[in-house]
Amino acid sequence: MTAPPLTAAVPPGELLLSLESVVKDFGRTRAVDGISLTVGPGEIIAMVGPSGCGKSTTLRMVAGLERPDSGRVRLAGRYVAGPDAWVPAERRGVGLVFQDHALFPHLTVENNVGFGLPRRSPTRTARIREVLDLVSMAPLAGRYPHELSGGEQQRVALARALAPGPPIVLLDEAFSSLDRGLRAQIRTDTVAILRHTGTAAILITHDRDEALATGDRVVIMRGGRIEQDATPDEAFHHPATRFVATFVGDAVLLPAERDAGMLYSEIAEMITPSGIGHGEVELVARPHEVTLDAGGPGKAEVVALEFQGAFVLYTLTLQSGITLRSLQPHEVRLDLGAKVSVGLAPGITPSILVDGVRPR
Amino acid sequence: MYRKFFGVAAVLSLLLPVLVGCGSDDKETIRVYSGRHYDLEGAFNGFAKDTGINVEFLYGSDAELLERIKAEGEDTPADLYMTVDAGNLWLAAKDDLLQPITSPTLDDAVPEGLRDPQDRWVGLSMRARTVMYNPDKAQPSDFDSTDSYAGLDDPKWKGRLCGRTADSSYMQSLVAQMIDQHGRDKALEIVKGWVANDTKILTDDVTVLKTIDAGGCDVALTNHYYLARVLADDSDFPVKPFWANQDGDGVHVNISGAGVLKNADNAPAAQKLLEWLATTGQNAFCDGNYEYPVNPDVKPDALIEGFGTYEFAPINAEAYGSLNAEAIKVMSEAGYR
Amino acid sequence: MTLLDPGLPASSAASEGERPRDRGNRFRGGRGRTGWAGGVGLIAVIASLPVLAVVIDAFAATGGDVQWPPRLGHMVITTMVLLVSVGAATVVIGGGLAWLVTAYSFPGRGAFSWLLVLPLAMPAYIAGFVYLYLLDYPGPIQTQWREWFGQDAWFPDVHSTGMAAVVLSLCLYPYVYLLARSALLEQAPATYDAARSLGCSPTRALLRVVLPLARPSLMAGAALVMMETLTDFGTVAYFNVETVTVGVYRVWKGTFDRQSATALASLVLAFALIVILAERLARGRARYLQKGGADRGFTPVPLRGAKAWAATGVCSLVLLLAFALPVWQLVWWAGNAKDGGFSSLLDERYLEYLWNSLRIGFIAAAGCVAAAVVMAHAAKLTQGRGVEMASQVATVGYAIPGVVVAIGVLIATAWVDDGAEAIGISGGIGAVATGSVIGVVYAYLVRFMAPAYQSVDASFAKMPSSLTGAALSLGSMPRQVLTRVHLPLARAGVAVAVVLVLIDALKELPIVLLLRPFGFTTLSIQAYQEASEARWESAATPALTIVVVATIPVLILFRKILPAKALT
Repeated sequence: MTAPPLTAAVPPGELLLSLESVVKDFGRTRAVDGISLTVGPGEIIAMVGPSGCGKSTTLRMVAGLERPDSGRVRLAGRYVAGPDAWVPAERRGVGLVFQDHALFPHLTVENNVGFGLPRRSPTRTARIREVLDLVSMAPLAGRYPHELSGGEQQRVALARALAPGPPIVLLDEAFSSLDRGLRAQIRTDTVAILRHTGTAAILITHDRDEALATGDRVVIMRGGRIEQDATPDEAFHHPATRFVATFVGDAVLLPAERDAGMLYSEIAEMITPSGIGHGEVELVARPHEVTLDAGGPGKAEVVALEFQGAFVLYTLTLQSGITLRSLQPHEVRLDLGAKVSVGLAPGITPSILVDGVRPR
Repeated sequence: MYRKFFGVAAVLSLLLPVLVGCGSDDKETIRVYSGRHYDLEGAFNGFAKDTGINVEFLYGSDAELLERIKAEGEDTPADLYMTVDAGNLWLAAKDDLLQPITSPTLDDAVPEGLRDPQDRWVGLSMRARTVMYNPDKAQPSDFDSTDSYAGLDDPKWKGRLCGRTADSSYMQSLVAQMIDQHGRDKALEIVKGWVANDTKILTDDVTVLKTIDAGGCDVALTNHYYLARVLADDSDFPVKPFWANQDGDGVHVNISGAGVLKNADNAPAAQKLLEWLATTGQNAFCDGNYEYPVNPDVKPDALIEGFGTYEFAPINAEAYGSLNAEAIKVMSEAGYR
Repeated sequence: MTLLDPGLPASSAASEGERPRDRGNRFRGGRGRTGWAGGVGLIAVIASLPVLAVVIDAFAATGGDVQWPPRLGHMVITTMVLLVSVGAATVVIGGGLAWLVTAYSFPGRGAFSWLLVLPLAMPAYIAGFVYLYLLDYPGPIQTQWREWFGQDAWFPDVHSTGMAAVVLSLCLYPYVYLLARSALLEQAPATYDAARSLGCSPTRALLRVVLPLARPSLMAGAALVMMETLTDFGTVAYFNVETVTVGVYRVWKGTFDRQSATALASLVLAFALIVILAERLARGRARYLQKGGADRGFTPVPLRGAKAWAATGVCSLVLLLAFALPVWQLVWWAGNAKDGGFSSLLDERYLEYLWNSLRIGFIAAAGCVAAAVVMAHAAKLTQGRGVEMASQVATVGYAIPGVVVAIGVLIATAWVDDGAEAIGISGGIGAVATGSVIGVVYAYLVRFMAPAYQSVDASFAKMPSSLTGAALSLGSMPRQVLTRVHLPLARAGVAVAVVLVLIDALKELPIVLLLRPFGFTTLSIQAYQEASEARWESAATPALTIVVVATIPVLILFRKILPAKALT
């Protein structure tokens, strides 16, 4: 008998999932250090961070494969983990897709997908067919996992997770075992399917582009803590921390000095935005925001260039020794060693960090 | 393939425990733990025919069975403990595992030296461990007729002797008797003498006899019945027995015997079995293994009768039992493996 | 220590050559988990109780004042010499044959690849008495020798540690062979090819790449062989070699001094721990996982001419000495027996012995494998240290000679009986172990848990833990995860476990001898009764039956079930 999923129905207006100050230790190592997070129905969250940042452990606690040492997890209006609550994985009704796809090698595609469905249910066959159609795998229903390509395996894994109709699916590096070309396509398809079925998802990745492209929100983690939880746009343009600034996109941090309501950096000056407290100020300069002018007596030197098709990425050394990157259209042609002057593109207000964090 | 394999295995393993459990019918039954197995069955069948009492027996080594009796305590299913060594009977009696039995029949049938003075066990068959020789290489006159075992120390036997390993209980009780008889020092000296004569150590008595035949040695010590057994297969087998110590204390003998367990459920029937084995059943018990009946009124098998009559040293069960450990140490010290 | 690697890919990931990285995943908490972990704890307690009983009996009962037997030092040295020489010899024979059969092709290679496993069906004590008969002074070999070279021609000492080592090595090498073979089959030829392309000769590539990669398996095999050697009594005693285990028997049977015997048995246990530790050290942290080529394997290099026939000759010689010759001698004996020969096969009671051997073997196999599955499954579910340690404890019986396990069962039963009487329940319990086959089955469980656990666990270990997680997240209860995912994937390992325990149980002697109930005789007991009286002809038929019966599952397993991967 398969247990009825807890999350069969989420009351309207209710959060689907919330983590409250969740902590997890492995021996002496603190893997997750007091994380709080919410997911609404149908929302897709991308959780990103370097290896060992605690994102997988967080996911496993949501799935019920790991029990928090403290803090609480609430799923569909009910505590599933906490000081006096514990619901194991098999009773949570949360879908899971693994990096290795974890298809059962002894079962056909059809039976893999049907694994989580009641075995005597009259609608079983129809449901299997339905989700297989959803991932365009119906023609291969009779195959065994080892007869499938990596992309096909991934789609079957998704279908299997979706079959019982979970309100949320957790994808643990679900695309990282795929070839780069295939990956983007499968990712797009997956997101489309999740949207189509109205399924919420937490997608774990260490690939920032994947995180920014996929998530309604991006959760950037480091050292067991959440550094920022925001929309991709917000995270990219208003990074909360120095780490986020450099992790979500290429960026150089330029120290700036404050003087009479103005901020002076080596390449630009601007009016000090209001509400900035005391402390060391840095400007976040992203390559596409950095302009080059070869006309004047430049003080920066081109030390490397990298063709990227329509664009060229220049690496420059400023007088102070700071290395900076600038993305230019391919018409701009500079040679190695050229002296240029560097500035910020007009209309751009760079993000500002004070003592490494975004000022409130 | 797998499924079939598992199906069969699963069904078998489920059914089997049900089928285990040993049924026995309603007939009166006694149970024997026996360190001896040869020919028991024939004898017990004879007993069943004569008395209507069934006998079940379980074979094992003396030591193992003794341990089992101790562990089972009052719940033991056994009525009788049968061993191939008087010393082990003495040990069982010492551990208070046997009960005394009063039986005029046994007193009549078994000579005093072959049963417990306190009637807790009784000998049922007798074997002798004596000198075996190749008549082409040695003569009876070559042996010391007073102490033939010690006589094998004579340097004239150097390179001409075979023997059985030290973990044979037969060797152990022989050496135990020598310790009892001569004291530890002298016994050690005798065994050292065997070693000094380069005794070829072999695994069993049959191999010892066949080695004499094959020319590997001229003289050895074995139990008499192994020669009888080889002769039964090959009447021309050339090895001859020499009865040891006939001008001294007599040849070393030991018994197979039995005692009724203290916790026996059916002591009267067990006693009946002992009485039967010591009288009517003597030949059935002894002949298959060519052992000598303990009952002087019963004739031994024709084959061993041909070995002639002999005097034997009285059995000192206490010595066999209590000195066995010492005997092992003595052989070990002497380098007799 | 991994035992026999079933050699089948347990997951699609493995067959693709991508070993999933294991993050040390655990699945903790929940009602089901506690039950499974508790089950493992219970198994550990039950399985270690007799062992504990022996140790306590030896030391606590005597207040630690143990009477060690004379020549203890000699026994210890003999044991070490025997262990090291048998271990080394089996690594050379088993490892060498595995390499020969895997890397080269020569006449008969296909058949040899599975035939070489056959000596597994030959109990060492039977091979022991056959070889002793053949080699001893009056035996056919020395007789012929003397005919050729004269009455006083030199012949090596038969009753020696060396001869015992030879016979044990011939009987035990299949353990190393099997492990080495499956390790070589899993080894990616790319590494060998890379070594060759870097300028290594085939021999150098073997020594520098293949051998080091196969080392964990060779060490595991050698450790198994050493355990078998350590707990062997029959073979070693035939050759009059005084190991510590032989000491246990001699002290006990010679002096009836159980405490000294059990103290010595604790020393055997210490040796076993050393072997396990040595294996761990020798293996180091190497648990090589290789990517790619699991389904390609080495392309055998064809041998030609003399070399090819030399390879065939070596395989034939080993098979002849380890299997064919002893079998032939047994057949000859059985055919020439006056009574108790082949005709006894028709005896009704003989069928009963066979049936007894089989049923006790199947019960033991079912019990051991069930317990092993519980332990492996619980480990997969919880991956807690506790479960892992409990499993180690539960498998300790493999390192203990059968007779010691049997005494342990007796002592433990006596304890329970005393305890029951103390609280007012009297009667019956003292004879529970020996009144039915329960005692025998219990001792078998203790003794053979390790081979069952190791082969089952090897199968479980191959499954990525994401499979378990996936099944749980799809709503399967832990019990359903077992029946729907773990068991179907572990069936090769389970089959190996069943066969190994069955074979061991068929061959086992001291336990059944000491603990069997009235009227319960098995083939091994029948063989022993006759052999102990030097009646080889009568012993031959039951001995031969054991070999034949044990051969059948070996063949089914290694020829039919695992052929594609493991042994072609």
